Amino acid sequence: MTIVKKTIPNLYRDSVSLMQFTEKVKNLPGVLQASAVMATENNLNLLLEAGLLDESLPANPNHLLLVVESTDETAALSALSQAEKLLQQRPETKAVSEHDEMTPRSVWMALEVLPGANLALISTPGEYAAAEALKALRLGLNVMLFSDNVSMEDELTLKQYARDHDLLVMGPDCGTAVIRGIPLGFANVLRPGNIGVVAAAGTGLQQVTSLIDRRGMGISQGIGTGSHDLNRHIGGITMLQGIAALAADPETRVIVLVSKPPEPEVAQKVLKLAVASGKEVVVDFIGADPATIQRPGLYAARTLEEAAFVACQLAEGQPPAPPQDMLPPGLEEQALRTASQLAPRQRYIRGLFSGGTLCAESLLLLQDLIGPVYSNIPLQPQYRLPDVWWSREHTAIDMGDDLFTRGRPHPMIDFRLRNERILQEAADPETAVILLDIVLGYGSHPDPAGELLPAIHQAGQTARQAGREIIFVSSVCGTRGDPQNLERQETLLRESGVLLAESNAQATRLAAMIVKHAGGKL
Amino acid sequence: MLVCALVLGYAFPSHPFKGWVHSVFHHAINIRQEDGALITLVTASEDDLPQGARLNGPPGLNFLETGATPGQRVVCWEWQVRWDALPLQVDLHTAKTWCCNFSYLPDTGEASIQSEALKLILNLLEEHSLREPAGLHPGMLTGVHLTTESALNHRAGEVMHDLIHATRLGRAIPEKSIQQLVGLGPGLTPSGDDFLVGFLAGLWGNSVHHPHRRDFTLQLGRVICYTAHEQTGEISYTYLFHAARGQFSRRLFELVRLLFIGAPGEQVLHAARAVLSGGHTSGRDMLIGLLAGLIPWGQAPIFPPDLLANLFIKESFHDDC
Repeated sequence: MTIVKKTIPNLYRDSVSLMQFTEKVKNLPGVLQASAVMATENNLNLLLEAGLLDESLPANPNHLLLVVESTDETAALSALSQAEKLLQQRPETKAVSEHDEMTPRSVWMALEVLPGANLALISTPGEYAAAEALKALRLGLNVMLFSDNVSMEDELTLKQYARDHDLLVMGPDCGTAVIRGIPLGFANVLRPGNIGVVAAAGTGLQQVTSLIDRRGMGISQGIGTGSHDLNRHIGGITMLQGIAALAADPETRVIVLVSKPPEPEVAQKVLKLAVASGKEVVVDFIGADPATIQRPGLYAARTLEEAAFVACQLAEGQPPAPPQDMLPPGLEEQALRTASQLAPRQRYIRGLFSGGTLCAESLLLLQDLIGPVYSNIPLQPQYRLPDVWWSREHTAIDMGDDLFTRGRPHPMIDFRLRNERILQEAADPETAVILLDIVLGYGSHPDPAGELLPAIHQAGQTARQAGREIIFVSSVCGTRGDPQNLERQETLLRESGVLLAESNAQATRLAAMIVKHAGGKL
Repeated sequence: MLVCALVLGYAFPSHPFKGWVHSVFHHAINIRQEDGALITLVTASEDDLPQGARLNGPPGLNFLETGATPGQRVVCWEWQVRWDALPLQVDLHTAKTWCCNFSYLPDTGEASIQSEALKLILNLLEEHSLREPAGLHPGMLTGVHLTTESALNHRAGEVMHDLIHATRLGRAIPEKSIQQLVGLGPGLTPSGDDFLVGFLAGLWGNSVHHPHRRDFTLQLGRVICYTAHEQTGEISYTYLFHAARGQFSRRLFELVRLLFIGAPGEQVLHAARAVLSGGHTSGRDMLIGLLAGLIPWGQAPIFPPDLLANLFIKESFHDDC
C-alpha cells in the first residue's frame, strides 16, 4: 500500500463539492481511501492516527490537504494526478441528492422528495383541482389553489376541512401569495417586514405589497384567499383564518385586508375579527363606503395606494394620514402639455388592464372623476359593454377575464391580444388616452415593456398619420427586486413617451385629468 | 448585471470599503476587506449571515458563472459593490439590516423548551446521519449507535463532555479541549468548528437573562476565537468570530428562538430542517452543538432521562449560575 499526499494552497471548495470530489477519487482504479480536508493541525493529527499520513506535515488551515491511499505507487500517483485535475475543474453546481432523478407525479411523491414541505401549489384544470387539493390537505399540507372553475360546493368542502385541521386553503382562483418571503404564482419580490396582507384580489395584493416595498417597508406574509372567499356561501373562511394567523404572528404589526366589498354578513364577521386581532388593520374593500368599515383600530382606505401608504405609516408607529391625491408636479405639467395637443374629437379614456382588481379600482375612480365607464366588469349593469371587443365612450376592460383568456395565456404573460387592442383603440378618432397597467414579478412576462413598446410606437404613428396624438398613461406594479428590472422597464416606457405614475390610482387620476383638461365628456 | 441586496448582516460594512475576492462558490462569494475581515454575498435562497449580504435574485444566480475569481479587486462606494472587469454590481440601498437579538427571548428561558421538540431534532439527526455518515454523529449526545471506530466522534465526544462540565459548573474554560476541537473534521468549515458555533448558540440562548452565564459565554467565545485564529481556516474563523459575539445565521437563531418560546414540535422541526440543509454536514454538526449547548444550564433536565444517562454526567442538576 502506498500513501501520497498534496497540499493545495488557498483553494476553497464548499463541503458538498469536497464530498463529491472525495467520492470520485475513491472510485479511481487502485484507490483504497481518499480524503480531502482543510489542513488544520487537528485534521493532520486525525489522519496520522487513522494511518492515512505517514509523517507529520506543517499545518495550514487555509490549505486543502489531499491524501490518497492506493494499492501501489503507480496507481497512487495516477490517482493523485487525476484528483488534482478534478479539483481544478469547476465544481458541480447541482447538489447531490438521492432524489435528483425522481420526478414526482403526485402530491404524495412530492412530499416524499421534500418531507419538510408544508404547502402544495395546485394548478390543474378545474375539474381535477378539488380532488388534488383534498389529497394535499389529507397529507397535512396547506394548499394554494391556482386553478379556477372549482365549484362553490367543492371550495366550501375544502375550506371547512382545512379549517378543521388547522390548515389553510388559498383559492381556488388564487393567483398571488407571498409566504415567508417566497413568491407564489404571480407575485413580486418583496422585502421582509412587519406588514401582513390578506387579499381576495391577486393584483390588489401585488399593488399593495409592491407599493409598500417601494416605500422601503416589508411584508411578513401575503395571503391570497381566492376570489370567491368572501361570498356568503363560503363565508370568508380563508380571510378569517388569514387574519387570525397574522394576529398570532409576532412579526406582523399591521394587517391589510383587500377585497371587493364582501356580502354584508361576511363583512361583519371579517371586520369583527379584525378589531379583535388587537393589531392595526387597514381595510380596502374596493368601492365600499368607508363609513361601513370604520371601527376602532381599523382604517378604511379608498384605494390600494392609500392602503399601502397608511399601512407603512402604522408599521412605523406613525398616526395614519391619507396621502394627498396630488400627482407629482412634473408629471402633471407634462400631462397638461400633452393634453393640449389632443384634437377636439378625442375625448375618451380606453383602459386596457391585465389585472382585474386594478381595472375595478380604475372604474371606481373614473366614475367619480369623469362619470360612467363601460366595461366587461361594470360598476352598474347598464354600463356593460354590449360587445367586449369594441369600446364605447370611456371604457376600461379587464383583459384577464375568461372571455379573453380562453385558449390563450393570461395577458400578464401574453401581450398579443392587448397589443392588438391598443392598435384598435388608437385607430378610433375618439380615443384620447390609453390607460395601461404593467405588472412585474414572478409569473409575469420577462420583459413587459419590450412587448408593449412596438404596439405603442405603431399606435402613435397611426394616430399621427391621422393628424392626432394618442396619450399613453400607465403605472408599473413591481419592485426593484423583480426579475424584470423595474428601473429598466420604467426607463423604456418613459423614453417612449408613456406618462408613468407611481400607482394605478395615480395613473387613473392622471388619465382623468387629461381628458377633463382636453374638454372631455363629464 | 445589477443585483439588489435584500438583507445585510450586522457586520456587513455600512461604509465604503475596498477588498478582493477571497473565494467563490455556487451560492456564495467571500470578499476579504482591506482590514482582513471576510464578508459574504449569498444568493436569495441562502441563509442570512452575520457578515453577509443576501442578494435578491435573479433566479438561478450562480457566482461561479459570473466570472468572479479569487484576487479580483472589489470596491464598495455609495452602497454599490463593483468588481474589477466584471459586469456584476450589487446595490445595497434597498437592503434591511439584520442581527440576532437574544434579548427578545423570554425570561422563562430553557424552562419553555419542549422535550418533544428536542426528541424530534434528535430523530432528525439520526436519520440524517444514516444517510450521510461523514461529520459528527448524534450518538455523541445519546451514547446510542456511536460509531466507536470514528476517531472524529470519539475525540469530539470527549471534548463535548469537558465543555458541558466546565460550563455547567462554571469551571475554568477548558482551553486544551477547545484546541482539540477547533479545525477538526471534514468540510470547508470543519465539523468541530460547526459544533462550537451550535454550542455557543445554545449558551447564548440560556445566557440572556443571567449575567454570570453571559460572562462565561463571552469568555468561552474569546478562547474559541483566539484558538480558531491559529487553528482553522479564515472562512470557518469568521463564523466562530461572530458566534462568540452572539451572532449566528438567521436559520440557527430562528431555531433557538422557537425552542426558547416553547414553539410546537412541528414548527421546531421545520426550523431544524432548515439548519440541517446548510452545507454537507455543517448543519448537522451545528445542531448537535446546539443540543449540547442546551444541556449545561438546564434548570430541570430538559432532555429525556435516558438521554442524560448517556452523557456521563454524574453530578446532580442544579442551577449554580
